[in-house]
Amino acid sequence: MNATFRQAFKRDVPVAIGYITLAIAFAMFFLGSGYPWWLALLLSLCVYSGTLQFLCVSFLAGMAISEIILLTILMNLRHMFYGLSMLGRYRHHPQKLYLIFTLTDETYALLTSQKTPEGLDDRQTCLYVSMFNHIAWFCGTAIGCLLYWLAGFLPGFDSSGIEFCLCALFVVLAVDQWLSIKDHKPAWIGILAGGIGLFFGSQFLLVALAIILAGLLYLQSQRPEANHE
Amino acid sequence: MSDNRWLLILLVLTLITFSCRALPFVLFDKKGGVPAKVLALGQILPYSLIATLAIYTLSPYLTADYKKTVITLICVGWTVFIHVKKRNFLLSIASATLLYMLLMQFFLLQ
Repeated sequence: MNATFRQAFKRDVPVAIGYITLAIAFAMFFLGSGYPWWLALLLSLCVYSGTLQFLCVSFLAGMAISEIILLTILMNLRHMFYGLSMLGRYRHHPQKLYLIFTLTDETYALLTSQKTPEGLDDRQTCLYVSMFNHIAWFCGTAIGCLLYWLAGFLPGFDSSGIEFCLCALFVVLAVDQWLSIKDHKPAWIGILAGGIGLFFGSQFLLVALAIILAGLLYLQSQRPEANHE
Repeated sequence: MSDNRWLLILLVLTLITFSCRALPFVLFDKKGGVPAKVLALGQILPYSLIATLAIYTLSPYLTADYKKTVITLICVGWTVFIHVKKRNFLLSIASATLLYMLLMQFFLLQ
């Protein structure tokens, strides 16, 4: 246990706790929707993306593969930007592939928001933080599977309605984003797209995504210069 | 048969997610500019996408069954309220889910 390990662990505790609880919710929701525990564990191990894993229940329920691919790509586009700011720190890193694989929203936020203190190894810090989060996510999923199994023995426990946590998650994410930015035009485009999508049944997402892309491209064309930095 | 579809979806999600995370390292690791248009689009895309997905996940709840719709709207209202007030993800999600479970088990499952 060297100093870098301890520092990385201390820094990671809040995120790890958040990951464990969210992963517990995911596992209970996933199992409650009728899918097996091993699939929940595999998703947490291999995909390792909270929002996608929650959406996965819709995917599994019978969405067309083409639609799944499109939505997954769009959901993951933000990762482009995470990678861009880690290019330098991950260059020639011995565990580069694993670090890229585990570069989630929270890992990125943690690694970029605080500087590794002088005298500690930044490369090791990146590896430890990434690893702790991945382990926390996986363990949380396992705990959630266990809790779901145990809840079956509770007399009178009825988990119906637990699937609402998916809605709650996305509403909370939307509210949080709304509060974090001044320009609400993109959000309004999303609301409009979703509202129109409601009338298209199983074509909801395809229609909504097309509206979003058209809307955002229009917004961009209205901007005089797209000169961010 | 369903097992195969599950594993196919698992594979698709794994490969695409990893590819997206890896893309900037493949494309831009050598000194070179990132197209400004791509950057700008990626910055605002999540704001639209999450709002749409919130409505998408709610769509099965907004049905002809007015009781279910009303309960759902109450719970969404609570979610927004508590999150604006406290901005605590876990509190907002857990309390909203619990509220929905209580209301629907009391009013819908009789």
